[in-house]
Amino acid sequence: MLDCRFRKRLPEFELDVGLGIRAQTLALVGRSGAGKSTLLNVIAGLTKPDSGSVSLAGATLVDVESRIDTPPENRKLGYLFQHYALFPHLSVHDNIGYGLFRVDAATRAARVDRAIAFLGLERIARVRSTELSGGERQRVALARALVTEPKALLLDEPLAALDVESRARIRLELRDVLGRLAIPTIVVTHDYDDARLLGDRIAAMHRGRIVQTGSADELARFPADEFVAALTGTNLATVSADGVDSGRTIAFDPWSATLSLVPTGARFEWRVEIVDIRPLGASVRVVARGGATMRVDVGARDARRAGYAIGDVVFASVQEHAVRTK
Amino acid sequence: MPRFESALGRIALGAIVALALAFLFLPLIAVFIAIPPAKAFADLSSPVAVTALGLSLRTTFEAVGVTILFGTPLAYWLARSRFRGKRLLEAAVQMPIVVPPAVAGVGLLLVFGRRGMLGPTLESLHLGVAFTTAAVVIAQAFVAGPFFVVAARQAFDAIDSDLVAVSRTLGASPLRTFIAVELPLAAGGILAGAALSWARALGEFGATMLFAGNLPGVTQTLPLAIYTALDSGLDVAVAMAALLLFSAFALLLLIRLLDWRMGRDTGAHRREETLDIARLPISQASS
Repeated sequence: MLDCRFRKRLPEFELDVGLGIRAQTLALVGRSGAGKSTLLNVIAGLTKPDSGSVSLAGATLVDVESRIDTPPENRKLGYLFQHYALFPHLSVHDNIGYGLFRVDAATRAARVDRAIAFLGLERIARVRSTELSGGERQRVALARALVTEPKALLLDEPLAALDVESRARIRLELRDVLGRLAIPTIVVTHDYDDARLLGDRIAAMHRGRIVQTGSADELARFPADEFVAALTGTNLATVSADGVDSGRTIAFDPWSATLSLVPTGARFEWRVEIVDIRPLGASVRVVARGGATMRVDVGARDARRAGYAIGDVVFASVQEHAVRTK
Repeated sequence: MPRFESALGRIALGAIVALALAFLFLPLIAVFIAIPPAKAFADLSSPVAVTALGLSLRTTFEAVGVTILFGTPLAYWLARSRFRGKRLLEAAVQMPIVVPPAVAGVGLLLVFGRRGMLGPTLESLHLGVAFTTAAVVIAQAFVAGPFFVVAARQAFDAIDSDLVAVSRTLGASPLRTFIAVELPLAAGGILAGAALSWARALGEFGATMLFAGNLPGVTQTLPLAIYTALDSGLDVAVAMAALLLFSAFALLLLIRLLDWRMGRDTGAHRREETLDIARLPISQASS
């Protein structure tokens, strides 16, 4: 169990975190600059919190009030950096064995070999670390972190440094490795698809605060705010019409909504301006603003017939039976 | 750069460039071609030259050794610490690079001389240095040290801070991280700095002359021996000058080689932050 409850002042806002992570993968998703990496650095001991504490498997890593601050080297954490931070002067084999300086040579060799087998790195074990591809670098860094048998694993944007072609494949490989681990793991990412695929749970972070935690389905069913709605692609709107539901927040899916050039008189209807039209195979996703941001899936043929263009003012509506309330 | 379209402009530019290059290279070439190699070798085996060469080697090795011993921690501290007035301190550390050697000699006399600030105390401890071989080492370390500190500091600066952080998360203490990660990665720059400061120490003349004097066998290094030999005849002076020039050239090649190796070793990203030897005040490496 990894338990974090702390605050830390950042230039633009305050990082204010309360998180408990069991032996599972938590995907922490948010825009760059939301405070995600700082959160990892506080857990790892590379940055001090202003107040609060972090504990791992019953041991206090940092507690500002009781003046406990375990140095990073004694925290028993694995940390995967965004650019993997492989030691350029060491081979793959020596990179992986770097953290095992306390054990004797025979044990070290056995554990490095086991890590190499775990991540399928046999072919490149003797290569210089500067000669690897992005995906290989990631797996070597992961092997190096795991070989010390950490009690928790922190991954900072593990896929951001990869090129587009190899990303999808490496994401699945990483998902497989993380699934085989039984320690609390935090994956920080700005990409919701990464979070959805890698995380058992997802925590959405916005300006230093975790605004919602749950499974991908839970987040998509009813996003906590517009930020999470934008991540999951769900519509979140406040009912402005008169009647019993006035002022309530409702959620609905883009494929349940419809678009028209003139008002239809539906109970849930908004006047919006089109800001983006994104092709999605047989349909297009129209993103429009007017109070809330609306995402409406329209059949590609219908969209062409209606002649929707960016800047057009249109009317988005949704049937009552497709609307979710909290 | 302006374009020289006309023939006259091109000729004028070409003439200026040729003149400048000739001015820079001719004196150096002249040292090598003035006397035949066989004669130069014979001149170098004269007792004055052999003694001066031996003294130069001994003192510069000691000066560079002391510089590395004290300069490496200083360079590391400058690269890693952050405090108010740091830029000012860094400028001060580099002062000996621009200070005229004669001024350095006077300053050293004022501190370590018999009547200097520390002189009487050192004398009473039988550690007086004025006009001894130790004074030569002190003068060389003073004028050459900053070259080392600047280069080593750049080398420590160029290390990706993630490498230091990841070493800590892998269980290594700050000291262990320094030895296993930072020192090996900065080794190229540290060696380049050592070579650079050695070249400067080898050529040291002014400060040594003022502070240590010109005593054959005690403080008369190669540059001072050249100066003295000029009185009795040009040939021995030229032979010793050729030797100094050759060693300076060899050191320059070594520095370039280390610089190239460092650029290769520091890895794929942040390559632009490796030691930039062109930014070092290498032009002042001989006085």
